[in-house]
Amino acid sequence: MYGYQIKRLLIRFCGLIITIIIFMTAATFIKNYYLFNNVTSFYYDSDTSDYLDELIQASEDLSLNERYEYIYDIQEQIFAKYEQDEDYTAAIASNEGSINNKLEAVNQYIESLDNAYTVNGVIQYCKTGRGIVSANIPANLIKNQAFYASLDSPTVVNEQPFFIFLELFSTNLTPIYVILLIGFFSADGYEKQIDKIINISYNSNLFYRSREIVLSLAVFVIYTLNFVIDLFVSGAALQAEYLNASIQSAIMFLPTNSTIFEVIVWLFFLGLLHTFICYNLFIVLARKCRSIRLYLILSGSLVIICSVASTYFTDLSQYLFFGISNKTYMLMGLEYFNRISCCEMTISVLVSFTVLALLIIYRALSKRLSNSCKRFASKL
Amino acid sequence: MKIFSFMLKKDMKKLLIISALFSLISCVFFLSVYNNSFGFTECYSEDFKKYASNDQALEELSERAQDYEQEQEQIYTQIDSYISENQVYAKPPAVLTDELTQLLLNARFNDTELLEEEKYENLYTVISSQLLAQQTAADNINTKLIGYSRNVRRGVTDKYSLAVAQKLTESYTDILETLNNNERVYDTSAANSYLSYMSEEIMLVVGVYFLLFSIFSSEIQSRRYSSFSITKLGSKRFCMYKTLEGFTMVFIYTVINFAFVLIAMLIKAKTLDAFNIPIQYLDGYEASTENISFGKLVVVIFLLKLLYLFLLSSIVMLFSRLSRKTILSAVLSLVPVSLTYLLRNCEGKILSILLFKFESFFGDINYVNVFEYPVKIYYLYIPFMAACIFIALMVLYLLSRERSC
Repeated sequence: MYGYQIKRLLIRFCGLIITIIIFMTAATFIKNYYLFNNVTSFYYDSDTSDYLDELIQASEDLSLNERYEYIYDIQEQIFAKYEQDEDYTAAIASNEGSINNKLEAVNQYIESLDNAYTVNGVIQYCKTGRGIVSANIPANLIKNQAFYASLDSPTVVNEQPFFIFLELFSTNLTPIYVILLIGFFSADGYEKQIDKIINISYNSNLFYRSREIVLSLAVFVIYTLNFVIDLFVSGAALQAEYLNASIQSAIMFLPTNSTIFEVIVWLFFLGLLHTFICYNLFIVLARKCRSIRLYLILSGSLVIICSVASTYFTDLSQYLFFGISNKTYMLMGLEYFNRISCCEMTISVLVSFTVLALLIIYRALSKRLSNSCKRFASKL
Repeated sequence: MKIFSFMLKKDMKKLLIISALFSLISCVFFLSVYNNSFGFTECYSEDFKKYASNDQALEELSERAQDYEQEQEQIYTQIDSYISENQVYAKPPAVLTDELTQLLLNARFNDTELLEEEKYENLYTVISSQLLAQQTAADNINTKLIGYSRNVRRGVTDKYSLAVAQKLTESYTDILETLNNNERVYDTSAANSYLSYMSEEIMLVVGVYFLLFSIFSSEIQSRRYSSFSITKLGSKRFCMYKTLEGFTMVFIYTVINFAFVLIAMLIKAKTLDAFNIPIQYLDGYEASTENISFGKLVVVIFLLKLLYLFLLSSIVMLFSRLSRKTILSAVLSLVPVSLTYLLRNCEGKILSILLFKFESFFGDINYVNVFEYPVKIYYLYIPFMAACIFIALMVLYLLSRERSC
């Protein structure tokens, strides 16, 4: 039976699978192109990024204070080297050549260093009572003083790959692919009432079990493929050095004690839970409304309304399971709850897990529920 | 007609449920847009009435706001000067003294008294900017008028510029008369939020998509279409009645959606006076060349948006007719609907016609150069849309010949 389901998915509906893969890769590459060729974008080009990586690697072991001397030395060296050439002013004026890229990289390094120093100052203030260096302080400093005192101090990172990954992952169209997969695979059968014939046959349990496993695997593969493609195209997967830096180096004052790698893993699991919630609910919908039109209207409007609502209410976008939301704004809106002393990251995972567990229990028991109701009714 | 009314009654329940649901959601989004700009008080329109009609109260409010602003600025300039004085080249930034730290924390996280003062400062900023826009609108138009009549006198010889300048002087003189005759002070908060919401809203297009994506494909998939083709009714008349039913559903849905959002706007504005505001008082329409009020603008936007939705619905119905399965037509019709959303940030005159961005229709100088003659942009929009609808319907009609499928 497993062979039958797999053949049906890959050979009969191969057009659907190919369309999904083409859309996934096209969305990623088009968005990447649009990010880099947009006039008002702040993403800098690859030469600057490479030189910034070199600087960061060379200053790996320095503390925050020593990095100030290091980077200002580098700045003076660049100026001194080009002052010897006659074309120094012409090179600056014509915006050509590598001197502008190097100066841009140095400026980014200094900015990142200042941000890291600001966050460090806040941490020192929470520990000792002195240390704030600028007017840029988090919104809930007094309430969460004990929590901020326990954070690790941030370092300088090249935050561009991480933000590009967040932007690419925001166009994660997996709910729409799930609607189409379930629509072609099961909703058609429920409309033609084939399931009533299967229910009285010998292999019915094996049929449903195999269909469940094959479809869940397909959904998992699609989601993971999307995630991995976004990760590699943005370059966030190829930089092992910064993955161990604390998240405050990229997003100042995010109230969680994790590294950048842990935040990426959290995004993966949250997305996975949301995808499986979509999958389970849409299969329940396909079974209840035995018509493709009603199924498409209900599931499609759920996805679209949740996506539009996540642009108006960004603080709630982690709890809108069916929507396609902007991950940068979602991360910036996370809070820390003092009374239970945990970050909103764990709470959103717990809520999604509870909803998923309830849906799976409902689906597992619904056949037995309806059978036992019928037996009870026939006894009356 | 009997057949048409039978088809409409059969789908009436689904139409009303979908319209009511999507319009309610549209209202919720509009209210969130309003609250983001004016939600710092409990009822902004009452506060506006209290302060705008009473000069003395407005002066007290402005003094209060200025005191709060000065206090805040003092603290931040103190901090900035301390940082810049103690900055050493190639060394980390200096740590703030205990006194300054305490000042900063008191300024940011505090007692509710400071939050009240901040609320009054926001109130004064917003009210004064609205009053300023209304007071200087006539002067702005006057300077533009002087500029354009000077162009004519200076001997500009370009034929198109002369024609545009003449038309603009006429319209701006009419507008100046209306503005100078108007002595009332209006509360423009609800109207501004309404226009900014309508320029970015999406629920109308989504509703059209969900109402119409299966209108033909469900009939083909369930073989009702081939049964109707061999009756006396015939497939051509069946298609015609179905298309009419589609347009009627879109019309009813648009009316319900506009009504809900307008009622939400009136609840926030608390008067019917909002419909009399001349649009030169509104945000983004100060240089407009149309001598109309806000109520007339809403009606014009409704009619032009209806035309645009008719075009979208004819494309969706065409794709629905072409596909034999409902799910295929859902995927195909998603393409034009999602293009209107993906291209919304791109610019250009042709795109603003194709996507109906009404800020460029009414917001600024809306003349287009057609063979050296200035034509208003919506006089190009209407025939273009009508031609596209006609072409789509013609293709649909040609496809509806007798055949069994």
